[in-house]
Amino acid sequence: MNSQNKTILIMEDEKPLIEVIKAKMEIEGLETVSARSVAQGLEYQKTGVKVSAIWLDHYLFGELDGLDFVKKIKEKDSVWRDLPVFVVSNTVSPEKIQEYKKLGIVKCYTKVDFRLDEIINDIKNFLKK
Amino acid sequence: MLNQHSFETCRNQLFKSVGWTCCFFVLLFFSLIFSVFATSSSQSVRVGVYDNQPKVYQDDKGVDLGVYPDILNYIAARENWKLNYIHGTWEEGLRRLKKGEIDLMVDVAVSDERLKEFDFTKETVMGSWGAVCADKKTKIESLQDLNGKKIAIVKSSVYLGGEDGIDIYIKALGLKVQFIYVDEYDQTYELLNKGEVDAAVVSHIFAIASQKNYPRIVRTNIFLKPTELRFALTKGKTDNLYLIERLDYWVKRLKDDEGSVYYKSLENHGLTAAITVQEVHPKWLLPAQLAAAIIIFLLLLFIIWLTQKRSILINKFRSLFESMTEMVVLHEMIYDENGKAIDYRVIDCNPAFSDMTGIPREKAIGAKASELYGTGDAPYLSIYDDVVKTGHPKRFETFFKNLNKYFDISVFSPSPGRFGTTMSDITDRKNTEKLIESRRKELEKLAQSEEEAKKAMLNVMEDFEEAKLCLEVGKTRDEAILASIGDGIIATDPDRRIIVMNKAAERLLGWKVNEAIGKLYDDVVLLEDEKGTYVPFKEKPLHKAFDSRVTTTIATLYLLSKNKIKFPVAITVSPVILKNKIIGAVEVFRDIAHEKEIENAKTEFASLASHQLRTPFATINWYIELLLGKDVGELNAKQTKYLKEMYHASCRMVTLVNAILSVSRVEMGKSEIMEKPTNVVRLIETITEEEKPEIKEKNLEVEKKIDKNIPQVMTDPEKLTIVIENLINNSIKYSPVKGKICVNLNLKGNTLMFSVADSGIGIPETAKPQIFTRFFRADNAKAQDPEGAGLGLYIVKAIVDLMGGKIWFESKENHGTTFFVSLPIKLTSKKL
Repeated sequence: MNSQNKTILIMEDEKPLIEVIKAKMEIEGLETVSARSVAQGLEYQKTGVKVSAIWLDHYLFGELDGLDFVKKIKEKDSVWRDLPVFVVSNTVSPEKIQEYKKLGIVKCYTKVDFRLDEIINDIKNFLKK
Repeated sequence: MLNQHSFETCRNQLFKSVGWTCCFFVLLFFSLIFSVFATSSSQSVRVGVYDNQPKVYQDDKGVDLGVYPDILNYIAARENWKLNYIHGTWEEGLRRLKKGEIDLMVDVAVSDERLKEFDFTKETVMGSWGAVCADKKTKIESLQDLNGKKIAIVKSSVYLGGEDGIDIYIKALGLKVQFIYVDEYDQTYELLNKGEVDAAVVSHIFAIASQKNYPRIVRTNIFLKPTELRFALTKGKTDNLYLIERLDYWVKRLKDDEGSVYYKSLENHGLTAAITVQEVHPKWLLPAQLAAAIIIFLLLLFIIWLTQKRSILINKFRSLFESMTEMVVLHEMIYDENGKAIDYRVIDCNPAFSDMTGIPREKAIGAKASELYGTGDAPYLSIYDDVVKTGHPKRFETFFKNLNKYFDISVFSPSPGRFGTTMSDITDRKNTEKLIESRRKELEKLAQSEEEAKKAMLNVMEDFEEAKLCLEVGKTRDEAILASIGDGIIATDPDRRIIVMNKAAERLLGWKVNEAIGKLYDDVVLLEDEKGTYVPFKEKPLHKAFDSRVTTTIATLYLLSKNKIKFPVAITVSPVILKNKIIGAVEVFRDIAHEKEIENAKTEFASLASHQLRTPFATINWYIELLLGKDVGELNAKQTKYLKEMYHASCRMVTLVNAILSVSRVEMGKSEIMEKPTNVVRLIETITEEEKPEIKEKNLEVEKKIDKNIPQVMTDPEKLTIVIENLINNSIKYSPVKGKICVNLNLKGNTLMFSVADSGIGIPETAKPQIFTRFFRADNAKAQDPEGAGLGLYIVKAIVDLMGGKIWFESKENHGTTFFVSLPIKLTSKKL
């Protein structure tokens, strides 16, 4: 699969979830890096990790949330400006979803309403394009 | 002494004359009345006469002659009297008069004693005084000369006793005199002539008249008791007043006329001189007599004047009497033998009496009251008797039944035994009084009515006051309510001018009530949207309420106070409509800043709660999925089965949490309508497409009747999705295998009509009323799908209500159900 060299940045505050997502993605042939806060996530820009897509939860550790993260990576000089972002959250309000969409994310998911493999397949399918 | 005596005699005579003149007037009226009726009838008058030449005597043929008969005959001829002369001695005459056997006696000298015994005429026929006569040879010049003498005198002579009588002088001087009493003057002269007595006391008239027959007998200078000779009448007889009046009238008249029968008779009988004192009085008395004559002359002139006046008065009184409208009746009381009044008789009456009673005057006069008035008893006898007895006049009012009239009766007693009545017809006055009384009572009633009307008016006023009070109470209460309401309240008139504003509004707007009243609403209430843009005139809820005529509510605007303080505000405006005309609007608004904060907090809570609840389930599910996907190794059959149960239960929990969160969002008002151009047709297509696995599983037939011309509409696609999804999902869930589902969508004006019909289990009748109730599930639904939460239709209805639409259903158990939804939408210009 072409996706095997793809690295997905998982932005999620819940450690068990990071674990299960990572496990499933790696089973599916994706590499992953994870971060539990916006700052941690942004740090990967400096490490040289080539991130192909971002799994983004809205609520993260720290004062900044997922929306703040998207705003930052969508800035003009951001290297991740064109990265596909998949928002996966249980609590994003419709208003926030609208904001996310305006910022150019790919899709919003409610965690409990989707199977994990459904979301990962969507990411993989997107990366295939 | 003698001279002095003579002077006093003349003086007394003068005074008496003047007194009589005065009395004359007093008696004038009554004598007038009597004279009126007395002349109208022939009357027999019995006259006592005796022999006393030349005043009264009989000739050989028994004809009565003398001064008195001459006068009486003259009067009788004028008064139509029938004179009956009763002869006798002087004494006999007086006795008869006392007994009433004769009516009057002539030639009676007036004295105090006789006034007690007899009634007298007032007019003196002749003056007389006593003369002491003696033989020429007997020298008797004074009273002292009578000492030891025999004096002949008539027994009842007036010159014997009383004041100025000879007896009193004899006694006063202590003289011893022997009186020889005889019956007549002639006898005194005969005794004197025979020398059996020394002197005789006779009237000077007799002395004058007897000079021829007794030339030796002369009058001495002794005068006794000047007296007036008048007619005497039986005391108290009823006719006396009349006789006296007529006699006085004629005697006066005769005396006033020098050519009358009076003077002729005096002359014929040689008594011309006898009526003066010239001859008998001492010479020194002449000047006094002259003076007296002058005075008498003047008096005569006065009397003549008075006579004329009297005549005028008589005529006046007569005409007055005749012409009086009041009945004037003169009555004479009739007494029984015990002196008790038993009746009264009419003596005279005026024409008014006849006119009023219908009784002719001729019939009335002389008639008894008891007979005349036909009453049996004499009316008002006791009253009249009281007046007669006391002399005090009385006055009373009475009603004559037979005349049917009221009379005011005045009673007076002009003389003893008599009374006069004047009766005034006061019927009109009485009737007027009755009328007045009647009117007064009517007025009282009217006044009472007025009082009642007044009371009624007062009641009305009280009611009015009460109503006014109620209004004031209501107004005060309203003001208190307005003041106590925390929300700002503004009321405007049709021109959008503020007419009412409460304290809360004052606080929120920063405008004083008295400043704001009368100002235009738009000058006081400034509204902005969330972005700080002024809300234009027409977009303000107040103007919307005026335009739409329905209550408008909005909670998305911000109010900018006078002090430029901005705060979120919830506004409800209701138009005030009277008789289909908007007369104003009431705006209620409140600061919802705090509510906004709470709402945010709630939203935050809901987000956190959902996050906190969902995340564990997501973790559980995804790990189970990982296990069941054999990604981490093989599981045995039981492990697989158990994990599937866990996974299923977890999914149910997720469904339930999602439903509860949806309910929570709806109930908390979190689910705001977010309208945007929506392709409803595509939305339905998508949903049915998503449901395909279930449809296929049940082998259902899905029929879609969708109007293809439906344009994009302004609506909330998320909410609409929930609605349509739930209804289609239900129809699939409760339809039998190979059942049929029919989805309809069309547009009617600005209303989107959507319906989903199935051929499922249907809704039992008993469950229909509760079908939209939270957590309610019909029994047949529970049997069909035990895992349902009973929140789907509740959420659907809540969202439809939120969108301003309506939802209803038709259903029959075991035959299927059709749900209908109508939603108001705004069309966009974009066609599909």
